[in-house]
Amino acid sequence: MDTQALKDSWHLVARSGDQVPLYFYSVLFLMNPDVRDMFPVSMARQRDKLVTALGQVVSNVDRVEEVVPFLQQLGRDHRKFGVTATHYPAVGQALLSTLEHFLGDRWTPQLAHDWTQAYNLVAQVMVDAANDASKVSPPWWEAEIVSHEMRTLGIAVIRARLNYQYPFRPGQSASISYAVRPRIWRFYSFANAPRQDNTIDLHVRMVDGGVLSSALVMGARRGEMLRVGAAIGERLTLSPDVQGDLLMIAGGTGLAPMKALVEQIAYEGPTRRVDLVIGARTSRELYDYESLAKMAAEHPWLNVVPVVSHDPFFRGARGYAVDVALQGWRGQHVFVCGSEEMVQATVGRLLDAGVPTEQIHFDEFTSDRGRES
Amino acid sequence: MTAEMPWGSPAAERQPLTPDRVRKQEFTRTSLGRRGYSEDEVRAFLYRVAEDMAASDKEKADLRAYIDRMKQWYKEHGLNPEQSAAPQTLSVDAINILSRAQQTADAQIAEAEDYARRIVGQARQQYEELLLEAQRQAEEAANQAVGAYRAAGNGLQSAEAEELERRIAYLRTFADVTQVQLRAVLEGLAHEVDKLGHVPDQAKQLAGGSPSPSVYG
Repeated sequence: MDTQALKDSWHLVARSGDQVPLYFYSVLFLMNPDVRDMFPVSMARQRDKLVTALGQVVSNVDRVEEVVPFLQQLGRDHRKFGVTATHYPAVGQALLSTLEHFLGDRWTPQLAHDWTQAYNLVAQVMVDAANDASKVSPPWWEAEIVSHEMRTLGIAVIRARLNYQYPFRPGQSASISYAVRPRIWRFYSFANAPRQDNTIDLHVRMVDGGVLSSALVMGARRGEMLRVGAAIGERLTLSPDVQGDLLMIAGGTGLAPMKALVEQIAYEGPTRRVDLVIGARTSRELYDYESLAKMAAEHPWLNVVPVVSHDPFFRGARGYAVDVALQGWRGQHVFVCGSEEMVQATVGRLLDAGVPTEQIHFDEFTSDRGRES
Repeated sequence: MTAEMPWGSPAAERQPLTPDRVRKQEFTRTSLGRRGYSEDEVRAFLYRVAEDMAASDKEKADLRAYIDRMKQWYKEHGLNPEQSAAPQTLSVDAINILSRAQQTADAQIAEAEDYARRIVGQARQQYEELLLEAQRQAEEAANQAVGAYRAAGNGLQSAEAEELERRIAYLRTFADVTQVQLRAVLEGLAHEVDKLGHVPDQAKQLAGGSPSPSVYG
């Protein structure tokens, strides 16, 4: 397989931008009309995702150790969309037609052969990973909402009970889908450490115009079902190499994974001093402060500080969470979670203040996380 | 509009209901203070919806039977209908038409979502301003109450009583200001709800779901 030829031809094709995935999906749906229903009505995000994933695979095609874990994750994750091994040939066909269309005269039998081989390898890795995963876990979990509390205007705390054993670690998140908004998945962090009764807590903020978050906050009711994908993300989990005291900075519903970590330390130890700074725009948005204050009263090692940025009547600390947090930084590992803007600004301030990069823990933003568009 | 009496005309002679027509169905409002719709009209309409559902159920059953007969025919002739034929070559025009349709749909959805985002954003901003104003006025009233309490005093005031005066004045003013604002909001909401014809639970949550501001610290 001539990997350089693959890369070169992909770069040529990729120059046509959005035209490429547009053509690809049109071919796929015309050849396989039944596949159309597996996708949301709007395909704009989907097209971006496809090109990003393809680009990532093609540019690493000669570094198997890089590309295989990525493909395995992709294959496992696609189970929740109802993708089976039978769908892969159709996608391969549409991909080859698309390449042929955009490459014109450059589409030689040799190149067609190389792409076919490469695609078959990719499909094989994804299918195998999906099959392996299907032996140990369902394509998604069903979770019944057992409580839905509106904590303030636009923020709800939802507790749901999963139908099977659900392995996850505090600090992880999962993609969530709700029947009222079919085929739309968004990532949410768990706000609790694993429990005996197999329930999870989600802190959901209504994003302005957010399709799923609005439905979850305003529409979801006790007794309704959510779909939950497998738990993912390692960056906010407590790995063994994170020793000693912790400083946590939470913005808005970014409090969720921090609360999960605090619970984990309370249940499993080892106890260490934890300073949790909760940032919000106004005191009304400190939607879970009471529960955390209660935990702080029970655990002498836990210190919770609410900080409010846009509320002249707030009697506590005013300003940005990171500034208050930095006053208490004595070399601890720092965990940060919040909106994308908040995380970027906070990490920037931490670096400026001399906190070493390897001591700052925050989630990578994917296009699906914490943001709806 | 006037109510059509479905039992007055045989089902075959009228246009079947489409989802779009069901969604856009309008009912005459009863004259009693514009609350609710004419019951006869709603009944008649539901009757029609049921008719059409029954008709389409029957059609589905017929189609299923037809498919079964087809499958049987294939089987008798040693063919497998599930195996799709060799991939047909697609016309470039078909691909383009579908691509363009998809782009149109994407643009319209993006526009709708953007509109929703702006509307909700504005609403939230307005709500924050109202609340801030209520807090400001309440704070002012509380300070005045304390001033008045001190002025009226004869050296016997206690700090607790003063704090109580402050809080009573704060809450009273806060309640007054927000009540006026909420009533305006609720009237607008009631008007919208009247248009909908049934009260969604969300409206109740909106009105009662936000707790009074508590001050931590």
